Amino acid sequence: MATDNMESQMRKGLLELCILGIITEQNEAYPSNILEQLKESKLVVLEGTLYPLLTRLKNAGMLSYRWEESPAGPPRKYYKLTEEGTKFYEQLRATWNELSAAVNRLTKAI
Amino acid sequence: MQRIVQINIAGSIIPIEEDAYLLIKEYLTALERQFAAEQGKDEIIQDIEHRISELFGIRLQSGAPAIDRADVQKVIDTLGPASELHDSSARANTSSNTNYNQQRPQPQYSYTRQRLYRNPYDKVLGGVCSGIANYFDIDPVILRLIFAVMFFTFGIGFLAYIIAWIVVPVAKTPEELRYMSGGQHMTFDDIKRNMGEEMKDLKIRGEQMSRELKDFFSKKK
Repeated sequence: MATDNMESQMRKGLLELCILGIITEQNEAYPSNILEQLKESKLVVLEGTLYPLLTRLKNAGMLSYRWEESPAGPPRKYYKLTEEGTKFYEQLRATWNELSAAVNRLTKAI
Repeated sequence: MQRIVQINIAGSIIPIEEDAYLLIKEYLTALERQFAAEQGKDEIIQDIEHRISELFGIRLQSGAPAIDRADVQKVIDTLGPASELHDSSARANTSSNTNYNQQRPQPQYSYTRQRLYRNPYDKVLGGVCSGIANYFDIDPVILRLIFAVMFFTFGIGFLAYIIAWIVVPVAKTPEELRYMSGGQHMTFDDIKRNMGEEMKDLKIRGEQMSRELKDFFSKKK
């Protein structure tokens, strides 16, 4: 079995949850900042995968953003969770908690 | 020697080598194709451009005089090849369910299609024969001979050549030259001569030809 592929599918599936988590934790975050943390936890290998996700979450009304000048380089987009996004995030988190608890219980034996 | 051009990417002016510029442009075109069906396409690409600009900025701050090909390749590796970035869920439903170890084709250079252009750097008159020869990958001299024979025997050759001269665009930009030669890489040194010279060239050739023709007919008499 292709373990690599399954692992990457798992990571991909949880990416949205983690993005929402990072933004919630910091209240506001810009992409490079989100990337740093995702890379640290090895959730993202290719930076480019983040941008479509952010845009999709924004278009779905989960995120809003504002522009801010950066001290160096181009202006940054600071993302923030909308009210709807916060609800969505809480729901996802609840599901994840249940799921991870269940999975841990089921696979504990080994 | 590499020519350095200035590009504006996400509002920042970046000095970049011609070669490297082609590579990044190709990457962005590939991305556009990849996200063509996506609703937020423009925004996604804009965001990626922002990131590219940021990464280039960091590179320039560390002392590089201009972005070169290796820098661009590094940025592309960081961001990921265009084909890897598109919607994972959509693809997961189709291909990766059946084939886990599917090898994805590398996007770089693979889609360089060949197009018909007149070749301004190898020409007798308008570069038509040389362009067509490039397109079909044959020796331009043979094509010129065929045209010359048609020119004198039927007179159609002349008309066809003139029409082709008018209709077929001349390859002006490095990209066009690359399309003309079917993805073969041309350095900017090959492309130094510009359009203005073509007209001057043509004038000289025209004068030369009319002189030769005059000689030819006066001898006949």
